[in-house]
Amino acid sequence: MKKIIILIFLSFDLNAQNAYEIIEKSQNYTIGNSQKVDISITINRPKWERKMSLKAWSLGTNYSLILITAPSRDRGTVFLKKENEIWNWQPKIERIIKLPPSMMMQSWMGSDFTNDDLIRESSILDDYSHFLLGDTLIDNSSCFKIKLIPKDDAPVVWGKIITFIDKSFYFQRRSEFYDEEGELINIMKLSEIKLFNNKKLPSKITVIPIYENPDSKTTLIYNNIDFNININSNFFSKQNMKRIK
Amino acid sequence: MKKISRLCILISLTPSICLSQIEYTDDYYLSNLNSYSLINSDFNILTFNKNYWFDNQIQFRYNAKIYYGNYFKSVIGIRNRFIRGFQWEKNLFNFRNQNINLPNTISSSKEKFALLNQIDRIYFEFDKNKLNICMGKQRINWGIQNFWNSHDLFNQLNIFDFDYIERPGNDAIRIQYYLNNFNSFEYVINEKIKAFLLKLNYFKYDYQFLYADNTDDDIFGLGWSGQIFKLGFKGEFSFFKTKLSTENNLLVGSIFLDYVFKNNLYLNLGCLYNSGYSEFNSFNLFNLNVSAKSPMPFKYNFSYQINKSVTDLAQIGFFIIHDQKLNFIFLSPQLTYSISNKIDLMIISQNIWLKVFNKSENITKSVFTRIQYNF
Repeated sequence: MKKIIILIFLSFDLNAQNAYEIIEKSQNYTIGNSQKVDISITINRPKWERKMSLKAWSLGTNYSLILITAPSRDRGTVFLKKENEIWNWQPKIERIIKLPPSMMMQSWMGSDFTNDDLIRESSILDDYSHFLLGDTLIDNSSCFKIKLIPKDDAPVVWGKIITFIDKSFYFQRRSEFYDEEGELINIMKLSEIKLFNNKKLPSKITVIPIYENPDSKTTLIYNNIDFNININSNFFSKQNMKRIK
Repeated sequence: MKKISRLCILISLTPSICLSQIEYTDDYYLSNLNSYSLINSDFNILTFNKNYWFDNQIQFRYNAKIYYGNYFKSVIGIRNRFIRGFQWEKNLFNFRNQNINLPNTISSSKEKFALLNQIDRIYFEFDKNKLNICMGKQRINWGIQNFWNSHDLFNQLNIFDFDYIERPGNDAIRIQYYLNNFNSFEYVINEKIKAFLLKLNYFKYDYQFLYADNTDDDIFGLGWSGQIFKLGFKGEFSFFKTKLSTENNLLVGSIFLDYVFKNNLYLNLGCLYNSGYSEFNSFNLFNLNVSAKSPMPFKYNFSYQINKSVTDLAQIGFFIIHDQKLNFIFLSPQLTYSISNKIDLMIISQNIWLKVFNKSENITKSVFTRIQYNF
């Protein structure tokens, strides 16, 4: 009996190890060492639609810089992330503001993404425990099904995430976001696979706030992705927040 | 120093610079602000015995940037306003004179209305590696918090004036040197002031240290921006050591805490201390000339700001300010609504209560509606 219990614990441990490796491999594949992306976002509600666009640069998971290029009222606004500190450059008042960590829970400019989704203050690797639940088919592609449970005191919004990772290319095909009470809040679907710098990746991400408003959605389109671009940590500076265009 | 702006234009036209690759960007918006104001009848002597009045302002804001290659840039910002209403006609609280006498302003004014064109930004900038030099009429925003900035020596924000977020520029030469990605040193000089600012980032806090030498004071400042658990925690203090025998030294400082709840409710609590004021005097409010030395005319000032998204397009907020004995209370409910991708609506009410002869009186009520089209 004792051996069986030990084996069960060992198998959980092995699963956790595998799930972590899959998530790590997925992150390395989709983010790479550094990247620059050009994104369009459309917010759809039953009675209205809003559009925005942005450029974003990242280096590993510690540094990111986002420049809003549209709509005109927000053009030139910049967000800079260094590890878990975040600053916001507001060109109209010409001031850099350090954002409180609680602001990460807010929706990203009225969309179904949170600030955290875009700026990635939390780390999907470090802030969660990972459990491999099995295999499944998503869009006729074989995927790993992985459960992510946030660690204590992790700066995350969700109580649980179930994510589906493509077995061939290690990008996400779908993720489900649950609150602390276990209610399914958001569904994220990734589709329209394209070739970016010789990498196959989904070019379209759709988030549906299934709990609050299933008729609504936010769609993010990657117009372009450049991987392993020539930038280092010096790019992610307060000086560059004012300079970038 | 006033010639710096003209110098900027000349430099920007220098042929050697113009030979570089030129890139041009601009942005502009059009806004229409209506206001309807009432005053307590006991005080209508201040308003030519009129208890209520209407004002209107149409504003066209234009900002342009010209880049000459990678390192040089010139910027111009023009504020064009059409003003009409009772404040203009009667020069209420010196409104007409204040607007006509704004620097770099061309006015075509009549008794009933005015057209004001003001160049409030015109500067030339060199930005290479870790060095940034900026000359001309520019906004130098040294404040850490949204308002009550004792470090904002060049352009203090009047929290009652919500319609001019850009603020006028200052004629100055500004040199910034970045010690690394998050630490920098600044030196600014203009006609009245020489000022140094050191910005540092350590232990997840931003710090800034200020020294300035102006006509009346030596100024020493310390500010920070960080967090206590998940609460945003900001503060800025300045000590004004007077050079005048008729004035006293002053300490002005403020502390703010802010937090965003999971339901998108934003809460901001603030306190401002100013050792320059002792007894409450309501006339200080009417005669207030907002500056870093005097962001508000009372010794202790408290602020509470609450904002909440009621729908994806609409946000409501309440902004409350009062002094330590509730002799002064300012209450401002606000609504913002996104009509379309380019059009925004804002409705704000501003209400002031003052204690007069031991009785709190509602002195003024105003409602502002603004529609803004962002091109």
